Order: sequence, then C-alpha cells, then structure tokens
Amino acid sequence: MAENQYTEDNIRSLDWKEHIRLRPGMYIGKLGDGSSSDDGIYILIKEVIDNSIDEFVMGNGKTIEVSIRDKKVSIRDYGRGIPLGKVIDCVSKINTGAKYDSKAFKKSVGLNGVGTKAVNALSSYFKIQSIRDEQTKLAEFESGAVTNDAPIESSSLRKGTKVSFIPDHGIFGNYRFLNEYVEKMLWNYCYLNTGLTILYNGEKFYSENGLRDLLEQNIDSKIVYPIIHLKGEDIEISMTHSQKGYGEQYYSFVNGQHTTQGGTHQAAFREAIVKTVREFYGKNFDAVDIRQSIVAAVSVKVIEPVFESQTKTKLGSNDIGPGMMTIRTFINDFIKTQFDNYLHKNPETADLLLKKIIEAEKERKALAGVRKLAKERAKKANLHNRKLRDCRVHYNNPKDERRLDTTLFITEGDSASGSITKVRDVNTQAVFSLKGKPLNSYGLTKKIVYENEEFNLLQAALNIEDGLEGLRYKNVVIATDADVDGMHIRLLLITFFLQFFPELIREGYLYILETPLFRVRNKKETIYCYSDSERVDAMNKLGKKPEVTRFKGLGEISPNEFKHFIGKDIRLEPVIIGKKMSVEELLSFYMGKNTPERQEFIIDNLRFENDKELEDNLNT
Amino acid sequence: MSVEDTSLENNDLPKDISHVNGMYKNWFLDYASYVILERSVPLIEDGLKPVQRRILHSLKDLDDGRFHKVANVVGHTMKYHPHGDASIGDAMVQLGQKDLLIDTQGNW
Repeated sequence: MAENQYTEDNIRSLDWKEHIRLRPGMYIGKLGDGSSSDDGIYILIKEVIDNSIDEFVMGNGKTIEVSIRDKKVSIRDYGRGIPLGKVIDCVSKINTGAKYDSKAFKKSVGLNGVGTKAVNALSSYFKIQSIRDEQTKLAEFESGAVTNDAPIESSSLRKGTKVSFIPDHGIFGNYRFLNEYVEKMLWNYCYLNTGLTILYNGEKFYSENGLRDLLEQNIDSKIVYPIIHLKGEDIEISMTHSQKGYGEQYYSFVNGQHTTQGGTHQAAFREAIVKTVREFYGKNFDAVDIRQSIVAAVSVKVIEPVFESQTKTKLGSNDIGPGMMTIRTFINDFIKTQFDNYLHKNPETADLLLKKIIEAEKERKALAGVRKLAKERAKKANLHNRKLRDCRVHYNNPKDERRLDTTLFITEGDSASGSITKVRDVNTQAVFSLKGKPLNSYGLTKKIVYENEEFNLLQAALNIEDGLEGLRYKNVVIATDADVDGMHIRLLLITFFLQFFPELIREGYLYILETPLFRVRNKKETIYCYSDSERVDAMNKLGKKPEVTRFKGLGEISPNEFKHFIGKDIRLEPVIIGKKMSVEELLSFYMGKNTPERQEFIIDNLRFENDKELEDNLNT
Repeated sequence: MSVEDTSLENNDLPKDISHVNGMYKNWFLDYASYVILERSVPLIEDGLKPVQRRILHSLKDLDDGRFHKVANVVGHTMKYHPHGDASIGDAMVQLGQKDLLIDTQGNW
C-alpha cells in the first residue's frame, strides 16, 4: 500500500494493471458495447457476483443485491466479508485469493484470483467495502490505481462486501447495459443456487426448484410430458420435449458457468439420453428422432475444469477431476440409472415420450424424400450459392482469429446488396440478397425450408440444417430498408427463424441493422438521423435551408456513405425473445389467419404520420 | 463511514430493449397501417386509391388536349408515387379498362 514509494512491489502492480488494460481479451473475452450477451461488461458483473456466490455456497448470506444505475454497477453481498487487512490485496494484487487450497472452493469456476482484479483494472471507478466484526474497510480505485485508502473504522452495518464500479469508457467505448442480458444472467445464478435471493434494482429473483424452474420459464410452447428433474451429487438435470418446435435446446452449466456452446458434458448428455431411451424401449430408434425438440438443462460440477475458449463457453475437460472418471462415464452412469428409474416409475411419461419419438420418426421419414432432392440442389448451392456473396473468414472455423467478427447481411433487393457488397470488409462480411418479400412461413412444415428456393439457399448459406454448431457467421443481420415494406420483410424473416431455427434467435445471433432515415446537411456539416425527431432536431441545429434527403431504401445510400453504417459504428439491435410470452401465440396472431381480433387490433391502433404535428410538438 | 444507499443519484436504469413481441407489434402496425391508408383501401370521399388519384392528377398536369403515351404518364406519376413504375402501370391499366375516367387508345 505504499503509494509513493518506488519499490519492487510497485513495478509489479503496475504491470498487472497495464497488462489487463492492454489485453483485456485474455481476461474477459471480448469487449463489445453491450449489445451481445457475452460482451465484456457483463463478464465484469459476473466476476464480481461469482465471489458473492462462493460466499453463498459456503452458507453465508442468502441475499445478494445488485443495482445498475447510470452505468454504475453495485453488488452487495452479506457473506463473511473480505478480511480487512487484505481488502486492497484482494482486488489489486493479481493471483491473490483464498480459493487455492480450500477444498470447498475446488469446484468453482474462478480459481486464479484474477476476476475482481480484472474488473478493477478495467473500471474508471472502482470501490470496495468490506464489513466484518463490526469494523469496515473501504478503498477506491481508478483504472486499478488506489485513489482512496480509508483506514479501518468501526461500523454497525451487517457483515459482507460491497463492490461498485463503472466500466471504463476508454476501453469499452460507448457501451450500454441491456436489462435483458443482466436479468438472464441473474436468473441463471438463481436456478443454479436454489435458496439464493438476488435483488436487482429492487426486483426479486428467486428460484425454488432450480433447473426445473429454468425450463418452465424458458419454454414457450406446450410440452409433451411434465418436466423430469433429477439431482445427484455434482450433477443436476431437467428435461422435457416440447410439442412444437424443431431442433434441440440445451442449457448447460459447469460449476455455475453457463456454457453456451456446450462441450463434453453436453455431448455426453445427448449421448446418454439416446442410449437410455433405446435400452428402455428396447428399440433402436434413430438418435435424431429421440432428441427432436428436446429441451434440457444440465449442470455438472467438475474439479479444475478446462475450457476450450477464454470466455469459458465450451467445456473441454474429459475428466470430472484429475485422475477421476471421465465426464462421459459419469453422466452416462447417472442418466442410465436415474432416468431409467424415472421412466419405470412414471409409465405415463414413458408412454408420452414414446409417442413423441414415433411421431418425430414419421415426420422425418416424410421429409426424407424432399430432403434428398433439396440436398442435391444444395450441393449445387454449396458450390455456388448465387444469392450469397461470401466472406473469407467463417465462424465455424475455430482457428480463425477474426471468426467473432463474421457477419452476414440479409438484404432486401439487389440495390441494397450492391452498396454493401462494394464497401464491406471482404474478410468478415458476407451478403445474402433476398429478392422481394420472402414467403410467410407461419403454419407451414419444415418441408418448406427445402422446397422454397430462397429459404433453402439461406439455410445453406448459414449452414444450420443440423443445428447451430456449423453456423458460419457470428452475427446474422437483417438489413432491410427502413420503410414499411422493410418492416414487413423483417417480420417475415423473423417468423421464418422463429419457426424453424428458434435457437438462432434464442442464442442471440440475430440482429437488425439500423440505418439512418434522413441525411440533413448544409455546406459544413452532415448529420445522419435515425428517426423523425432526430431529423427535426438536426434541421433546427443547422439553421436555415439545410438539404434534407430521405433515404427511402438502402439503395439510395451511396456506397462510401454506407461504409460508416456497417463499419465500426454499426448500429445493431438484437432480436430477443421475451420471457413472458408464447412465440406460438405471437406468430399465430400476427402472421396467421386474418382474424376478427387482429382486424380490431389494427383498427384500434392505426398509425398515420402527421409531419406538422410532430414538428409542432417538438418546437413547443 | 457507512455503506452508501443503493438508490443512487441517477435514475438512468439499464436500457430495456424491445423484445420480439414489441418488434412484431411495432412493425406490424407500421406496415398494416401503411397498406390500409396508403395503398389498398379507397378513400370514402372519392372512391380512389392513392395511386389512382395520383395518376389522375398527373393526367391533369399533362393535359394539352392530345393523347399521351402511357409510359410518359407513368413516368410523370412517379413524381408523386414513391413506388415502382410497374405498380403505377398496372393501376393505370385497371383504370383504363373501366372506360370511365381515361380515354384510351390501343390495346388496354
């Protein structure tokens, strides 16, 4: 804590800060501006909460309070508090921690004593306060450097730790926290730690039944049989099949870390389910049929887990601990006994599951013919997908450094795709051009994905026929005109994805490109406006007689202007499925038959533009 | 020293983004309203759709007592009608076939 002395310690502590700030990717994955759920600012929150969770796991403090206001994040737990003499060390000396030899902490994710230090170094303001034994210690930092080292004082507050920080604008740019992602993250904490209460901006998060609650909250369509919830030592699973919907949906966790890209534990789970089902029914079902529309959550605890990526989204370990059995055997054994027992004890569920599998088999066979034809066509498409202008780097190539930047723009019409094609980054940005409006795919079967040429080519371009593993682009961006027909195309496309590839949206790959509606300029300055009110503001700002151009379509934006809209300052709006509604109902209401209710709805909410009124409102 | 109150100075909460249902509602209403008001439904006052009214207006503009080429009228109408020429042409053919408002020559 020698601030002004020049000692060996000083040099070292400068090193860690600078290193973290120089190479944040090594510590928190990617940076990002908060529009994607794995962006750095969320990892910062996670690192701090992880520590509070560890306290909870040890039986200290059943409540964690989280608040985010004006980019300032505060997290307060009621655990034991950091020992007062070591508070500063704990947040500013790398590789400092209590979790190196304590056995109880062995199955936690953060073991290296790096997390909070990274948060500290990457925050323009960081404050930590620890309270224990009626005493409190507070310290404040700026970019990792101590600015306020308050002496230990007596205090009447409840024991615990409070951390507040503001992520550094210099590193994260102009970021914003999206409530949706924060809430999702907090919910996951609650599901994995039953009994834990998290208060987020005053809202209470609590889960009684763990992973069962997770499925209940995340399933949007009807389920075939009641959720199966099995718990064992170091493993917890819950699963069901949804009635509609294609593909498989997994939520997998390792030591409380959400592994969005799965890994060995998820692979083992998929395999084990198939094996158990085959043995139970004594029939050699196809694995695809058994897993069709399965929804499952798996949580395992592994000693010293190994992840395939820095962001810990894919588990790579083969064993559940050094010198112990493999993850595969462990999960297999558990499922084999527990799941098999469950099916024996619940014959109704077993019947329903069997019916579902047979149904899936029937449907697949019906599809087989069409699929074969489409495959042949797709072969041609793979060689030359004429709707696609591809980029060099692809997301499914793990060796490529820039794979996270890969983007596919789905554009409306050739004029727009021309501009984008001309100015795109050929390495990472690909363009897929639609011609006219795509088909309304609501209520159609998966057959249409193969029969409709446009859909088939789109599917081939994304390479998602057999699930998301092969996805070729990290970001799928719908870039339509900002006019009413563009809105319609967005609806139709999202309907298509919701129907047949919901996981693409659920996992946050789909975005909408926002492009300016107006350009207001005079001889000196040019302002691009994204809404009517921005336009009026800009017109007032530029004084008399600015030139106002309305971009009716993307084709009207000239290529060198377009460069800015898909470059570094790209404005993307993520497409997110809300929690409180059923996709099925949504689609049938908006995209289904023209019902009297929908007519009523349109009549009641008819929108018309009134330019003058808008300007009057803004001027007054 | 005490732990500072969690309700901080500023009430700028993290941004709530619109979910798919909000997007659907928003875009659907935009599109539906536009189609109803600007495209497909005739106005009660004169029974004309916007595109038809625009054609008549440009015919009035061009009027010099002689026949005009359809293509010219279509081109002129595009000044008022922010859509493709094909849609205007088709609408004009429909009007002409009624044989009420447009004096036609040749094959309609």
